[in-house]
Amino acid sequence: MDKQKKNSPFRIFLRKFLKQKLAVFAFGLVIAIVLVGIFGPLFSPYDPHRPVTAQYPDMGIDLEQLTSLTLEIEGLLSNGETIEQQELTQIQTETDDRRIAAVRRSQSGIRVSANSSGYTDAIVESGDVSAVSKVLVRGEIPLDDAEPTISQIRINQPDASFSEGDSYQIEVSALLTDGTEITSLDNLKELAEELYGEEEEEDTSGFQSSTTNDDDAASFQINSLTEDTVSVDEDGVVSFESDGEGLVQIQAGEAKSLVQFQVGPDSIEPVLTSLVLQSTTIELNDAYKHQSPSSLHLFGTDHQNRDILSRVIHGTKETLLIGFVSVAIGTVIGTVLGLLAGYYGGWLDSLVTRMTDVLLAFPGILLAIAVIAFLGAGITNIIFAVAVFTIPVFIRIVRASTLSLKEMTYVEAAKSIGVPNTVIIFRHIFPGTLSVVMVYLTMRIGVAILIGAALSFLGLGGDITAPEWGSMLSAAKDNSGTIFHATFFPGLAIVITVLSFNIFGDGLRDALDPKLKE
Amino acid sequence: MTANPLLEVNNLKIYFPIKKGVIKKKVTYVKAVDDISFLIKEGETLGLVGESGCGKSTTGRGITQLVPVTEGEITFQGENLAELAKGDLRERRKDMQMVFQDPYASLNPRLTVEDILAEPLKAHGVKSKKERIERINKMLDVVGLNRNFAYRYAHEFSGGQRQRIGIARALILNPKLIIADEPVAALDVSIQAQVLNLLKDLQKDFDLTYLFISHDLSVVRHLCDRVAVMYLGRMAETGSTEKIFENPLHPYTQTLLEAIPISNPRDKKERIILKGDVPSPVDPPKGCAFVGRCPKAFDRCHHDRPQLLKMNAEQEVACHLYDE
Amino acid sequence: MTMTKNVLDIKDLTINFKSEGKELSVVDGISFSIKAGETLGVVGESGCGKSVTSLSIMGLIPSPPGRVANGTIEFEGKNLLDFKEKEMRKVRGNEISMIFQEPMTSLNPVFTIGKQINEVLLLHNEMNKSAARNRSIEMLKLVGIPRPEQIYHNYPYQLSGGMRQRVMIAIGLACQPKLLIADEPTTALDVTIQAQILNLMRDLKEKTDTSIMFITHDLGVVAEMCDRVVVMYSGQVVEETDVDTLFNDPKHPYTLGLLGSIPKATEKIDRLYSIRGQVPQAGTVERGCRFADRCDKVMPRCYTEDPPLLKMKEGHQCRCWLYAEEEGGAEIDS
Repeated sequence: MDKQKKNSPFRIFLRKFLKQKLAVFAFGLVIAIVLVGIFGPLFSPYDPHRPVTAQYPDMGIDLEQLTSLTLEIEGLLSNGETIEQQELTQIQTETDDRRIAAVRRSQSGIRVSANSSGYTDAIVESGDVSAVSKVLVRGEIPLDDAEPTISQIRINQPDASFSEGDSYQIEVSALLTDGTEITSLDNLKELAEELYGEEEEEDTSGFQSSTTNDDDAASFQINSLTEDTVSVDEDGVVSFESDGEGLVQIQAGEAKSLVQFQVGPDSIEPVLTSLVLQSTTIELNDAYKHQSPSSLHLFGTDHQNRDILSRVIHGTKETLLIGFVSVAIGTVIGTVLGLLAGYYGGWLDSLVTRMTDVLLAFPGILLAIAVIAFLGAGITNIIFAVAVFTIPVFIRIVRASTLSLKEMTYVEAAKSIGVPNTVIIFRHIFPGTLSVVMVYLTMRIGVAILIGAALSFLGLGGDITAPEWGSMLSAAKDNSGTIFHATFFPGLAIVITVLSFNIFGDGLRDALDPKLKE
Repeated sequence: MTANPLLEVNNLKIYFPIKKGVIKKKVTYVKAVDDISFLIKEGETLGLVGESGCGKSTTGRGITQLVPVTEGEITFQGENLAELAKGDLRERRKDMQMVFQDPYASLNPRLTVEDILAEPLKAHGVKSKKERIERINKMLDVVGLNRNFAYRYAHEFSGGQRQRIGIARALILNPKLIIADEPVAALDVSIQAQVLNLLKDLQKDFDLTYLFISHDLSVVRHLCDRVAVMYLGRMAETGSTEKIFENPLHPYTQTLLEAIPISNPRDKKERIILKGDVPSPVDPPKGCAFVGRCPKAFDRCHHDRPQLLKMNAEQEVACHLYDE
Repeated sequence: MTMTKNVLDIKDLTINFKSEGKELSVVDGISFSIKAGETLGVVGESGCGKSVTSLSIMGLIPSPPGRVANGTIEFEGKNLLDFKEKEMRKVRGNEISMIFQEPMTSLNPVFTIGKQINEVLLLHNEMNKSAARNRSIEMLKLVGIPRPEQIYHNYPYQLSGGMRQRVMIAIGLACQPKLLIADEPTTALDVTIQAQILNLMRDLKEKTDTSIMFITHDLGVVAEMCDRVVVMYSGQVVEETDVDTLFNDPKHPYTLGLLGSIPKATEKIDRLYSIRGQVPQAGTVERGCRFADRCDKVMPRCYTEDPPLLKMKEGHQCRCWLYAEEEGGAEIDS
């Protein structure tokens, strides 16, 4: 029995098909895609309809943890000692742009938390000294143009005491948020003017009346806080005028530091001269929108912070549904009509052929849009629309192969025996058309998926928030200039699916081609 | 000579319309079969002979109602086929089966031999599977095929074996008449002899009547009792095999016989070689169809169509030469 | 025999075809020759290797799957198998030409008849277009085509099958080849047309002195056309002799069977002799005589030992154990 079955047309087809590695691989992919479509939703990591941030509590993921970082600081005293953050008094924190990130004190230190993507400066101030850290929040806004700002200023603290009438040249260095160092006062001044000065001007230029120049925001300042004892000029030369404690503050942008002088013999209390930040740049993720691919979200999240992987998985079902159901409807109707028209001919054939010609005269997508316009948006109507333009394709190919099979002698033989027409169609003609129908079927599924996605993309799919590949692309298209993953992954899913079906169909065609030998 | 006529064909015409233009107006006709009559008696073999395009195959298909008959009467076992209801016609097919020329095309490659042979049984109401298998096995024995072949597919067989399957399919319903359309033309010489012998044996065993359509005169001479020679859709000559081969009357029959290659180099012969080709059946000559190629054509042949004339008890000819 | 020299000399030609991983010898060690001005018939049933042999002479074996595994094909003393493709192209259509069975498909439907004859002429001869045109019309006239000037401008579909085969012959003979290979040239034609074509080929051979290798399965055609005959079976030459001996004193059981199984138009026989069994595919019989399974006179020896080609008389050889002990039955090849 086994040996006899060996030469059945199906076995021969199977042997030929298995020889085509690429097609077999594509077939594997098709199976995988179908499995994902059926079982995928059970394994999808997130609910595709809600923002992931709303789901984090349920999943035991601490949103806080995800979006904030502790900024550790130390205070540097004039005697060279350092003090811990806890001992620092009067700490004030703020950010340049609260929409991007907020900063506040907490037990463990200063916490910076991200609100949305972008970059800003976090300023930590304690009395007369302050330091700046750059906060970069990754997300939809690109961070490429974030420029370094001055983070900390370090003034060389002289150990010796000074006498009245002495003068002293302050030595300054500064640390930028990107880690580079500036070593002279002139350079610092120049940089500060460049970074803040112009900005200042630009800002005011819009409002000519307001010239209220805030001291804090001045680009570069060097001034004495104790004008009785010391004075300082623009070039950092300190003149001591009377005994006592002298404090000189240097401000560049938002960063401020002090230098303390002992003038005269009386020893003085050390003061806090600068703040040292452990990291001058803080990188955070925007967890509320457009998260980049990470271990938490392999495909990232979209503009409403929904997990793209989950949406792609859920969308598979929808997409395959459109592909399979519409093509199945189209194939069944098309094959039946094609068989009847081809076999019986006459007025039925004329009618069916004319109808086919009319339908095929329109480009497929246009026809589908027309059907949607007529019936209204929605997935059922998409399926219907795709089916409508699949029917004529199948009518045409089935009719053509019916016409040629009808002329085969074995069909004539069956007729001469007295086999009823229905049996002839079913036993002799339909199996003959099956191979070409199968090939077109798989190829058409690819096309149907593409058209379905295109219709959704055009917003004709009804619910535009539904996890459907086309509508995902449509929603993400506005940000596609900057956000790569939101369009890439749904697009990739479409490409892989359509390609798999087409390569599989190609393989089928080659395997079913009787001219190609085993 | 007292046997009853099994099949009678009277004034059969089969025209195929040639449609032209957008509105498919019927413009002209291919006169594939143009007014022929003949009859086959029970138990005899009638050879229908002619060159390609003479309408011999179309005649066979017309008799089995595979192509629509334009005009004429086909009487089978006393019943006019054209007057039968559809159901009755299907029933009648049981007694009238065909064997086709191309054994490769006439068997569905997707079916096993068993499927192929079961088909006529199913179509004619043999419902029990056991009975079907029994009859199939018996039939395989009859045509000289191994019973195990029943489960194989047609494409696994050689031409001769396929033709045996084709014959088995035609015989399985115990028909009265077999219309064999060039059944050996596609076969190798050694296989051809096997099939011809098989056909002869079967005729004896099953009391069959054959309409044997062929272009090969040697095969016809071997197998047939009577011969009908067709030319361009018309009957040129009919008669017993002996008469036709020994004493052909129609000039066409004469040249046809002379054109047969000799069977031994020792009997090399001088022959009249026919000039020209068969004219198109769309626009046949007005008078005798053969007029353009006939070496003996005269004036009357060009405008007067000759009718079949009874020359002797066994021979009829359509030629003005004998029309006194 | 020594007077006329051989145009074509085939020795031990073996051609293998690869199928499902195995190499089958479709043509297995055949040897024959064609003399100048002679018509050699090559007879055999489908699958006996006769067409493959003719293709190998033209260097047209599809490779892969086919390849010439052994032997030589000498044409006028030169081994064609050593020729490069470029040299072979000069031989094809010029010194050796071929006509095929199917006149419907061997002409290109998009070119006029004239153009297709001109093409061969211009390819192999140095002549200008008008000379080629004149020669083409002359050729058409030669093969008996009426109104050649008009037919020259016609397309193949406007001609009947017989006319097309005449055109094919005209193309085949246009360059006055030394050898014309005709592969079943009349099989697709009606008897009356076949008679015309055979007559034409006979006349032309007398006029042009071309040698013809006539491949056919029809023994009647052989009787009409050929001087000598090679009978092939399953890739081997089983009998080689002159045409008169073949029909009147055949030796090999296969030849006998073949002759017996043809119905004759001249006499009525009640029952045809028939060779039992099926035509085997070439290369499937591994040991012994290829015909053993179908032979009526089979002996145990036939199944185990390959029969050699035995010399029956001058110019008559037969591959059969029946004649191994007979007088004069000297072995020709071992």
